[in-house]
Amino acid sequence: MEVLQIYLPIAGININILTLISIGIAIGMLSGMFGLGGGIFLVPILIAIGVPPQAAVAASTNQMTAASFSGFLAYSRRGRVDYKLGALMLFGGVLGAFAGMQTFEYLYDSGIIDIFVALSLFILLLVVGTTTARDSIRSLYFKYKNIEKPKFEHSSWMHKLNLPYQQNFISCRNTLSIFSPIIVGFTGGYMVSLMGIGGSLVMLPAMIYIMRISNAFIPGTTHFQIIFTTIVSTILHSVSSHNLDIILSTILIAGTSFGVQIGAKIGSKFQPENYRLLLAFLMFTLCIAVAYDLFIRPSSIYMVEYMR
Amino acid sequence: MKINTLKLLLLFLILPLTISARTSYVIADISTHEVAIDYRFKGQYVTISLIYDGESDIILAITGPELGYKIWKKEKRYGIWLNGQSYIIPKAKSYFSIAATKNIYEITDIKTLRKYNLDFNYEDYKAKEEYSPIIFESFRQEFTKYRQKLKLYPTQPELIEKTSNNNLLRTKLFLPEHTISGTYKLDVYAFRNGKMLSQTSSHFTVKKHGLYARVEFLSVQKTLQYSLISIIIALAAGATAGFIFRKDKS
Repeated sequence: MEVLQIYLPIAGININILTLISIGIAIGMLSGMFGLGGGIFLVPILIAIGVPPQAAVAASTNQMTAASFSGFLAYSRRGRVDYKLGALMLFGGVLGAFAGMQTFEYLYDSGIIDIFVALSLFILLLVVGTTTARDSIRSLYFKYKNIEKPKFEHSSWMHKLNLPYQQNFISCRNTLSIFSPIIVGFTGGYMVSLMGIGGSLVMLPAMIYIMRISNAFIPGTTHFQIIFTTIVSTILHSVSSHNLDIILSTILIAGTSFGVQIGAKIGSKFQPENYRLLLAFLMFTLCIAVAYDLFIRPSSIYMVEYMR
Repeated sequence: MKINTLKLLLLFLILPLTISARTSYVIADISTHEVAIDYRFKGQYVTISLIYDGESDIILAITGPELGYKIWKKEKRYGIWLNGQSYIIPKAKSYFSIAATKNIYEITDIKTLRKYNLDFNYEDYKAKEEYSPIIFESFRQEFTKYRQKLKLYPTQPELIEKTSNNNLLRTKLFLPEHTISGTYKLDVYAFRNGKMLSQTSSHFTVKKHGLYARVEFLSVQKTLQYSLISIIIALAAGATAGFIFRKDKS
């Protein structure tokens, strides 16, 4: 097993190559099954195995480019990408990526980046995990009782706001202001740069419940937008903080590429409500791990970092 | 390495003839003058061979390049552990290791040890911020513990062992995986009755090799080019996965 150890030049640690490939495959499987970028799981896992947080965030953004591009190609072949909507989301996403990077550097200099990321992850995992678990249990209940699930008409505050420049989109029955996708894209791009997560955990519910985008177009359009925001974020991380470890991200990408396919196969064989409950369980598990770091006294109350 | 050993052997044969028995002398040779960091790197031992007068007490130290550090202290606020007070050390040793023929505090007094930067329990650095000595001391201790945990700072000196020949000494010091690139200085001191009588210095480099040297260069000097390569790799991997997926479907 010793021959499989590899030194990561930017992260500055020696790690087993099989561990990294396994992580990549596992994250890819989650991406393929649930349509997520995987960053929300990847960043804490990398930190747990000893990768410095800044290097983990940078590698995660690069890894998401591969996963999103792979997903985008699959959906674009089926004509399930709304390019007009995606371009507007992308515009917001790029702005968000720049804003997220500024915030990242400010919080990094203030020494609260890790706390901020952990607290944001905790809240996000708790809210999205609860929503996912509730929806999944509800679906399973109706399926078990063999009764038709009632359709809820979600109110959209973005429609009620009546924002200007209303446009028609192929993915949306109603007209939509161009500002709606820009705002949602901005949130996603901001999260990519700041937390190393693709933002799909926020963008997917926003597209379903707030923008009322057709389910068929959501994953493809999200992937389309994430490709570019992760590219911008990768460049920003590399140029400003020199934290991108190309060896680490390439090994992860190799694992992810296989994992996405395995995950997509598993996903197509099971009913969505079954594996969404698994997703909720994973989110709660991660939420508890994050909470432990936040609320329980750490083994050392000092943190040392060297300045590049 | 063979040439170095040969030189050392020649010196070993000639020196005792030219230097009287009372004179203190020490000559050092390092097993390598370049530690290469490549994909297999997980730390490396450096062997130091010494020829000395046979009577002196020897202390040697390896000092790595200086780095700036920032230390944070976590404090519980609103039930959450947040980073509170911090201090910056503009320059401190990124690596330090020490070896001696016996307990360094028995070889000479603390004042002399500190003069030659050999007292590993004391480091003469200053913080950017001004804190009370008690607070500074707690930060200082944690900074030392941090480097000790990464094996970048000694918890106690290594032993310099005598070989079968009385004039030849040998020790091994470890450069861990967190060792940074740069020039590392070896200082060897010969003491007798607490007085430093002879000193010699040498150096070796730690540097990344091959692909790793290229990665380090690009990641710092050509950041845009470096990030574009990473993006191309990601897109190529994504496209390959997409292609295989399509093939699988049809």
